[in-house]
Amino acid sequence: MKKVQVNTADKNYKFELWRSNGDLFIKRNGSQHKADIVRLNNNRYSLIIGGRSHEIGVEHLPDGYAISHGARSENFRVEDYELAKIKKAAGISDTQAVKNVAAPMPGLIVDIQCAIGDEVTKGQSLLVMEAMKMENDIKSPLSGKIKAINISPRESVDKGRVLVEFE
Amino acid sequence: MTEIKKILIANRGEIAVRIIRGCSDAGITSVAVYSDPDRTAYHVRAADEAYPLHGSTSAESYLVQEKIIEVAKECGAQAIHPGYGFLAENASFAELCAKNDIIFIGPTPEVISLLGDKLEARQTAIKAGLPLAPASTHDIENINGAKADADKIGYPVLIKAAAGGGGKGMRIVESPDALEAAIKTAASEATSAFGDKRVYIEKYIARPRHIEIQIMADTHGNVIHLGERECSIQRRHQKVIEESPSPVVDDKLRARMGEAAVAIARESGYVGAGTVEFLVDETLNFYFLEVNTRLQVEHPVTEMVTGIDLVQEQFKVAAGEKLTITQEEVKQRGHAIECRIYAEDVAAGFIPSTGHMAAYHEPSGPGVRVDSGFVSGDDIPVYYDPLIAKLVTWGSDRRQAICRMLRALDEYTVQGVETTIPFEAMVMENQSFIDGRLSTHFIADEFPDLAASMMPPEEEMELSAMAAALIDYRRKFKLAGIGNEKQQTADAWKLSGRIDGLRKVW
Repeated sequence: MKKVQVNTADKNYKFELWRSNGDLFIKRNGSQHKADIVRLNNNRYSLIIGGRSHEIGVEHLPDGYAISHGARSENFRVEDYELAKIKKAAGISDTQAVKNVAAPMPGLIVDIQCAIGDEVTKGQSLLVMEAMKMENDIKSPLSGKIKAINISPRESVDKGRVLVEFE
Repeated sequence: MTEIKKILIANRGEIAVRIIRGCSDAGITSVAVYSDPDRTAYHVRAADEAYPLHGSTSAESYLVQEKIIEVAKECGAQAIHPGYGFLAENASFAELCAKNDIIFIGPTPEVISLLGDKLEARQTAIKAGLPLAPASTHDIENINGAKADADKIGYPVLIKAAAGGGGKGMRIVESPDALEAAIKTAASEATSAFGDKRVYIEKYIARPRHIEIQIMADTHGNVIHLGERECSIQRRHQKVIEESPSPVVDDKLRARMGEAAVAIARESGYVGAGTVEFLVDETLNFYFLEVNTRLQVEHPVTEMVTGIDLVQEQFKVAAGEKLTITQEEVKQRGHAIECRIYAEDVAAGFIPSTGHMAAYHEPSGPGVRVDSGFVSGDDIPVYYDPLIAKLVTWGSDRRQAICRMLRALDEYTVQGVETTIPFEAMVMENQSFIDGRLSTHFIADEFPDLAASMMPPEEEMELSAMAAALIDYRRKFKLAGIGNEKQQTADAWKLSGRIDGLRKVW
């Protein structure tokens, strides 16, 4: 039997997994289910848990998995439960807090609506980017103080370029 | 009358594929054109012939009029279908086609420019007797005149830039005391945005519905309408979900709106497929908005309820034939809903999401139609509109159309890019939507905190977390060696299948 903790950006789930008579079982909060997982093609899997049938997509990330179910996708990191406990006791956090805003797509910076030193709130518009024939508000993913702005208006940026950094 | 044997489609994506299919249905040879990044795009693969335009951006490819004309002449296409967007409402392109003896599938250049200009279109609508939102007929000269105008129109009023567009130079004024300040800011905004300080006053319609009428006219003077589409659910003034019929339009209102649409078509000398857009207020008064001189994105909902293929009718009209249907023969049957499937991150505020579609599977089954321009393994390019597909469902009534839409959205697999699918599924389950209580403010009214509304339900998160745990467990189990775990099963087939499964995975 194996105990694992599955982490998202802000949540964690604890599971126990084991095999018995060739079948795979998973347990959470006292309820246990038989699980069967079969690869279909590429990154698609058929998953039957407790008799309920699902199709999921799996992408391997450097530190975990991107799981898509239906049209949604979430990133997960799986770690050994005992190790997670030790880490927590030792005060080690490996949830890397977001400290910057990267360009979600290639485009043109149209307007910058914040300045270095500004205290901004989560969801506030930081800048306007033009991409795919549209102007898009780039919103702050967190509340905090702006440390650096790495771009200027009318500048073209590639996807992933760090636009704004937080303290 | 000209027999059209070959049509060039001056477009890309789902609409190019839709028109290519229409060509096949009519026994017409289809010609695709493509930019460099679109070399392997589905519209290129689906067409009978395909020629490069070169370049990557729209401005370098799909918008270069001379290149498109040159291709059409070289391959011997008698007609060009512009689709929507790009050159669809470009009068100079329609003119260039005419000069080169190529049929432009759409109205004449004169009609395109007449109806494309907001003020001229307004004048045409007045001449045709269409109801318009009350407005000051001239730009505002002084504050006293403005106050008199606003009083006559009735508050709340909207201050609009005469040269305007895109919400710039626009102000809502609730009461007379706020009028002067609003005019000043609107005028200064208009000056900086358009170099034109003229503003005018229009009646503000608080929670309008966007309802439009599909029209079809031939060169023999026949003009018909094919009923309405309700397109109230919009984000940044772009439609996301449309349906026909509208939940609030009855036969009487439909006849009145239809007559109005036919009247402006006649007044302007319209030919081909077009759409007359109206705003409808809470007491079901309707006001002329504008005319779109093209085939609309949302045309399939009309096709689904009327059984009329609009692209086929366009071909016939372009060839100089008469419409095959009369007004009396147009009947609406059942209900159709369209969800535009955009590659967008809704929670982040409908931001385009580009990338590689690792997996892509379209829904099907009873009452489902998908107009798309992509197949599995395609990339969503950064250069163009992020519309992946239009998902349309038909039901014998609205309720069934909604149920089928939910089912189809659930069946739709898109892996690798964010899409509007989860948002649309949420709308299908929203009580106001189910009750047909719609307005152009629907998204803001129903989902004030969109990011929070878009959070996946807890059971879905738990399922995905469970999947991650299972994938990880089996992966580590494999790394440790399959044979190490004691196998107690007697079912050799099951075991063999499972080991086989593992081999395929890792």
